[in-house]
Amino acid sequence: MSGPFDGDHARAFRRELRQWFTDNLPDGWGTERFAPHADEDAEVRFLRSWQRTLYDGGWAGISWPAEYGGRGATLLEQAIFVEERDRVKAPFDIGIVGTQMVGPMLITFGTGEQKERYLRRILTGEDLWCQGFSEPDAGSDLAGLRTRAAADGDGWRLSGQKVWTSRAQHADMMILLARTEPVEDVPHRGISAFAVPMDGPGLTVRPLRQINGSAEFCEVFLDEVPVAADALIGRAGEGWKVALTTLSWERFATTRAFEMRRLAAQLWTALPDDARADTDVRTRALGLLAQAHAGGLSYQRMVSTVTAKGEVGVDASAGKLFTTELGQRIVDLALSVLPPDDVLGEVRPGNQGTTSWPLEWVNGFKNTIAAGTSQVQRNIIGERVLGLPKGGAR
Amino acid sequence: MSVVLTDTQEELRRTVRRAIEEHHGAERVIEAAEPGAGHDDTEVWKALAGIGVPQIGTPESGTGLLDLGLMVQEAGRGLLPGTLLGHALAQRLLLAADGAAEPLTETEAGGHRLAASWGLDPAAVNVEADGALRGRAGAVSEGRQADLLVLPVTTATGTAVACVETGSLAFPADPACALDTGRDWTATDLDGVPARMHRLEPEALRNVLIEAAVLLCFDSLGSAERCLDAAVQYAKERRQFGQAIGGFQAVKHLLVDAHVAVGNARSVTWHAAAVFDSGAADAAFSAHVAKAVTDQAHVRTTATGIQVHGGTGFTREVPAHLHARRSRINERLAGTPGEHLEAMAGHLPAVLAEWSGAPDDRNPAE
Repeated sequence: MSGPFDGDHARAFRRELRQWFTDNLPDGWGTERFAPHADEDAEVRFLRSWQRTLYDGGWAGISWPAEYGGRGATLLEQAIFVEERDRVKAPFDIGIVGTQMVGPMLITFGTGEQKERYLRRILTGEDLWCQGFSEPDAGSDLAGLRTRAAADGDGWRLSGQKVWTSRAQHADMMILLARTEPVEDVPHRGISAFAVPMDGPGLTVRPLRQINGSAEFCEVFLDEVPVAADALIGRAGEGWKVALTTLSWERFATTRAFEMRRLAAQLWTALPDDARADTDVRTRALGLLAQAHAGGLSYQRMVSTVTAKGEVGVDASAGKLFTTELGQRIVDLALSVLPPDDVLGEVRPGNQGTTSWPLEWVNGFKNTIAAGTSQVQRNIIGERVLGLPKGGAR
Repeated sequence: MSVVLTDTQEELRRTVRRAIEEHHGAERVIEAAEPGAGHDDTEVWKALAGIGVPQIGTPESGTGLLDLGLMVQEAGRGLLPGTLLGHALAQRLLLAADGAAEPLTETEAGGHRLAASWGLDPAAVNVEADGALRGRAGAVSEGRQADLLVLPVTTATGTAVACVETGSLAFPADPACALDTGRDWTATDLDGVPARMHRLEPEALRNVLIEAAVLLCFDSLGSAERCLDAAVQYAKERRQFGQAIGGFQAVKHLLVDAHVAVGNARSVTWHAAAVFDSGAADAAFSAHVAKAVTDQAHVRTTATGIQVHGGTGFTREVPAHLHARRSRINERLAGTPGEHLEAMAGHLPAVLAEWSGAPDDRNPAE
């Protein structure tokens, strides 16, 4: 027998992709001498151009229909792409909100015209999207959001504040949730989703400096920002479905199975002989390798299920939860046992192609918070997979 | 290898699950685990034999370790007292040995039952010059019910698989692993008993040890799944502070962590069996990972099973403790998690290049 990841087609796809990475990663990638981003703008330019390289190579929108610029393959090939990408620590996907969340959501909810307008530009790197969901008083409790969209002629005017909006300062578009009807019995009703250009009047962005040194998070202020009628995604008042679909894809995209598998491998490789001979360190490191392998296999099993169903739903929560917490355990051990020079350096967003343990350590905190905290994932799995009741006393 | 079960495999699983529920259901499990109750599983064995379960896993049936494992998983789910576990290992030993297919076929044709020693140490039993066995067969599963005991032994020239008529053996009344009251583990001294011998090549022995580890993973997986299901069900029904306790995050999150661990155990176990069946080079590595990950998940999940049941979980009214007992025995058989992690380490040089392609190996010229 042969699993879906082991068929001739999957193997050929993987071989072709691996060769493509070898041929197309920038010169010096993975070595200290590769440092394209003296500043954040330069980094963003480099990552946009990398997205264009992927698009030109046929590796963008792998599971999207060809008519929107995609490869027309399935999530299976997309999952192989992620595995190969994270294996070589290829440049990260700066347009992840567009390529992995908004795009798949638009394929489900967008009108023909919206798909035509937005999808290909996401894949080419021309449009970077950001995610205007969270607000100061609506984080894990997203339905508590207060940003309002008031009907204005044919269109809408948006007012409110968003926060944790990653890369808003570089984004061209934002997927935004706003309330179009007042809260009544069910807070999830009356929310609508909009595609908002970031250069509109009344929209201002304030970057927040993060503990990893970069200014990825932003606050976004909306003061009577006008948008056209066709900015509405899905039906008015039914944005919660759009939000849930987008969030499901987010969990799918932030399952870090192969990133953590690579880190576990790098930790083992970097262990000095005396640490490897220490029974406790050795057992922990080997245990983490085994768990990392399990995480990769569970990811593949989840992808097989999701590919058959054609939608993600709650399937991705377990992997997101497990792999991000596993990553923290891997880096915890690294910081405790690797030579001081490897782990006690400055925390700065550095050369993406190489592994910086201090940076991995700091980013580990982000991974269990962003895209739904570990605690929220546990509630999702408990309630929607195991069927446990929602708690009254939280 | 990401395993997706076929419709046929799913259907067979359901059929076997129903048969086990009918002939050895939850009440029977608790009753059979009482001291002195014995572990008679004749009824359920007959039912399984009627479905054709004993033939699963043989080349003639067109099935392999994964199919056999799925049956063992159901036996684990049903907390059977060892039913299928001895048979399955005996089958793998006989398939691995030279010219032993014949006793296997005879046994199947005659409806005989097989037992096996999960001690799996050929050095524990030696073949004397006259062909008789001397030593001790430990951790025997299905010993009291079976007609033939199958175990690896040491001969003057190497290793062999020995088949001993159980009529010539005396099993003590007390179980050999008393911790697990839900199981009939026996042990017996082989004091010059006659046996049929089939040569077992060193590589074949290594393969059987891999298969044994994977089969035990299936048993643990089934047990962990069932224990978790019961705990989830209980958390939905049991009310305190005016609500079902499963609504409390402290309880809910405990169950979710077990659910995630069981999901990983399923991934590694099914993968290990499928890789073995495919003959791929990483079969041993996959089995080592599977045993280490599954044992840990089993131990953890069954502890959660007792905790979530509260005081009830500490009684013999519910089988949570039987799952927990089983987890502690299973982790000591067919290699401990520590031993498997150590064995896994030997395979890492080949594996890690596949997991981490950066940075050196892409630009070897530099």
